[in-house]
Amino acid sequence: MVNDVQHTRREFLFGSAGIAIGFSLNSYAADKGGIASATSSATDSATVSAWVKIQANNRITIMSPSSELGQGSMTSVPMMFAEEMDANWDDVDIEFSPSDDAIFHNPTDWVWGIILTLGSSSVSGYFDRVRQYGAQTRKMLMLAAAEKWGVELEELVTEPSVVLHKSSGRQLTYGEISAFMKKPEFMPEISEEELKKRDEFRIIGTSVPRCDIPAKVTGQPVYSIDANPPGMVFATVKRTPVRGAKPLEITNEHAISARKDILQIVTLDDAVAIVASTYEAAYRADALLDVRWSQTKFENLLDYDQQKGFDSHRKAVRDLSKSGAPWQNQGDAEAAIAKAAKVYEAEYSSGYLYHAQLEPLNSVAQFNGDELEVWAGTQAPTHLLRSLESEMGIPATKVRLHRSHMGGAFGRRGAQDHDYVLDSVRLSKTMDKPVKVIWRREEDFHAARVKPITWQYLRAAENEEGELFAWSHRSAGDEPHKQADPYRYEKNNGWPVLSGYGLETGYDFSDALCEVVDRDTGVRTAAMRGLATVPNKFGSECFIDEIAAAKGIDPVQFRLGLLRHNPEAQKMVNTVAEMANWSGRGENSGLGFAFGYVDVSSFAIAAQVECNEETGVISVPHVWIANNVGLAVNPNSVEAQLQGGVVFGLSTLLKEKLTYKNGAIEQSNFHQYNLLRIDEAPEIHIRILETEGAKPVGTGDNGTSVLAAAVGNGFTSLTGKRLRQLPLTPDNVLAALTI
Amino acid sequence: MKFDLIVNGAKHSVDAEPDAPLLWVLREHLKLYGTKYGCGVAQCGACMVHLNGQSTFSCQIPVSAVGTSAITTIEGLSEDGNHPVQQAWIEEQVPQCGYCQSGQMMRAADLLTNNSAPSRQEIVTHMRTNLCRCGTYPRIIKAIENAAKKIDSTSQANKEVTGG
Repeated sequence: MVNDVQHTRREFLFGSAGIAIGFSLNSYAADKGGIASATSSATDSATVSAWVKIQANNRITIMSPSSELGQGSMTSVPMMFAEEMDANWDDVDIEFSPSDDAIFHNPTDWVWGIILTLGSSSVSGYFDRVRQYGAQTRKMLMLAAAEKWGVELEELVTEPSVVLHKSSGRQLTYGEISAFMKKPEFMPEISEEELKKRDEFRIIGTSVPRCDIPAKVTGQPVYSIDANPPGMVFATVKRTPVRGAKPLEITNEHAISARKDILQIVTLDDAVAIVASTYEAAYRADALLDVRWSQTKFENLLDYDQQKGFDSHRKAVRDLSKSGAPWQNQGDAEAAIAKAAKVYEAEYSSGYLYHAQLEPLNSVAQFNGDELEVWAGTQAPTHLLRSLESEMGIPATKVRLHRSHMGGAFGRRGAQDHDYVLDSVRLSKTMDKPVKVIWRREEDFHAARVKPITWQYLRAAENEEGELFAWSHRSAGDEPHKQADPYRYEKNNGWPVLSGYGLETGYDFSDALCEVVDRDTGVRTAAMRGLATVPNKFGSECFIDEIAAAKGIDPVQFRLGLLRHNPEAQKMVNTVAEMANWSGRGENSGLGFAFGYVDVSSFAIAAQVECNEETGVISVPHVWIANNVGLAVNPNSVEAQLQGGVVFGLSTLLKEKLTYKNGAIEQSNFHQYNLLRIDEAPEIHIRILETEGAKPVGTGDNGTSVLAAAVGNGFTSLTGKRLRQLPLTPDNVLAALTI
Repeated sequence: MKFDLIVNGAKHSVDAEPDAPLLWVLREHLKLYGTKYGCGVAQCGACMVHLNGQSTFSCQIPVSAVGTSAITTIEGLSEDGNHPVQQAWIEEQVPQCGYCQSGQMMRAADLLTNNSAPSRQEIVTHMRTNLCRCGTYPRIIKAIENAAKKIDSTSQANKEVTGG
């Protein structure tokens, strides 16, 4: 039986006839703000439910509740709906759903009932629900056909987009049925048996092309930075470099105001905006603008730099009298360690990271009376609506939000307050005109919400037989949810969800205590792709290698032993070991290995590491990764996510160093904060595994999650030296080589 | 100040400051939004266009310096999106977020005009001017190899809409 029947009754909403949108190559219409969406030749459209519209010409428009930030969910989630609806995929168009939590929220429990695209949860979260809705839609169409023909439902079958009465040979397309179908009061109930069996899938499991790619290949204006409603003016925003400070004085206000095309300088609570009639005028003026800022109200940030953060985190993590939030707790690890025959211990740490999404943050806002129209890219559209209400008193009923494609997000645009959107709304109100705010890249850097630094303290205990049986892992760092998602932080009762990701060992220990030691340095933070899994696994997977080396055991064999009760995980380890020819490697091969288990997704990774010992530059020409994704809804998309995750991960661990001085970020553009370039990218060898009958699990983070550990372990294999702090930039490498 | 520009084969007259970067003239004055702003300091390549067929950072060119050079943007790379590079980009499903891809394709088209059968090393050396944060590099390489084969196998060279 389908759960949550009551919910599906509420689902049954009929809006006015909508315009179907498709993503064919050539025909694009622009909305009022100039943002393109493809349009088919319009005919009357029947809105069958909040989730799907069917036109008389058989074009079917399915809602994507997920945002599209490059991960492909906008295509994959509707694929699942279309499968059970038995729709002809060639006739399907996709549009972003309205921002209505009640109807479109992600059912994943930790999402807490809202529309949210992050944490690799779209395909896995919507899998059951949209298949039910698709099946209900199909059943509604069949019931309408049955009534029309005066036959029993059981006599009917469907082929893609067609209902057939086999014995009489009659058939009707979904489009034909939609023209006469009466809208029933309740959605028909669907039993589990009525859903397709896996071997009946026509769409799920196939690599259908992504619906948004044609537009992106022809330069269509689909990002919020491209919106341009008539009468629009432009603005830059210079936010205080130190969180918690305020603008006191604009020392060169007159000179800036006098510049050509400058309309107004607007002082905001924590920023100064320049509004101009051309963007280039605002852009140039922003670089020259000189603001005197107050001292920050956050004591921690006064003369803060990352070394201070490292020192205080290290102290906290080693202070065993202060317990942390127990992410994993079984047996009694402290007691076990106290009486162990031998104890291993190690420390690791990780630096700050910047999201570096290639589209600088921006939005466009326009008021029509008291109604607000806004173009913004967001991973959390309903959080944006909530923020508009709480911060500016604008109710959701007065907001028309155009959900734009995003030129990257990686977690940055899931932050609840949506500072980069409120900027344009405030300025539009002040100017009484449409305003496009684009943060200069330098300002995007200075107002960054960073991945926090961590310090890790690990201990493992061995018994007299030389077997590892107890494990302690303490990880200290700021919890990004406090700032980024107060709604969910409160729902989780202050549990440090993001800091603890990947902290559980995944290995077989009788006693294990993995704790998050919650810190608050005061810097701006938000969730970033990979989450704390990256530093947490850097610590634990490098530590595992250290222990294996101390015991003279092959690191892969050692892991297999610790996974002896987990055959599925062992399979993952063996798969990658075989892909990378682990057993054939020579001494000092530079081949490094790591294993990870996040939620129900297991993966293993191997990296070939080379190092120029004079310059300290590490290169990684090959990466092998195997990931069990349960079910690959769109295999090409899964592959793309794993490739992207590896490249993203390699960039952050090899090249990206973000530093603070006096509470402010020192870097201001990509000449100072380097991203991986194409000639530094590895060849990536991927094996995607599935489990019979399993549901899909997330893949967005998996290329990134344990890569740092694999590279660290490969470096040690090559040089005999151990790297203990991310990023593995030349300065850190040279320091380690001279030890 | 008025400037006459030749963009995608058509003449345009714009009113802009002499030091206005071509990037912003294309985007906000001419409403050609396919060319993107990523960094403004010639580090990311999202702003790449062709000047007389050669790829260049439009964020670094003041509009007063363009003169009669023919500008080609992503919108003018082909008549209907079927430049071999664009076809290959779709076949290989290259874009993730897509924001860097206009610049990537303009840079790739430039490579293939001058070298119809580049090696992998030549590809990555040429393309290193263009950042991709989503990590589509493996697919970019594959798509360029794919496009090269297409160009090699067609007798007619792909035409850019340059005019003049």
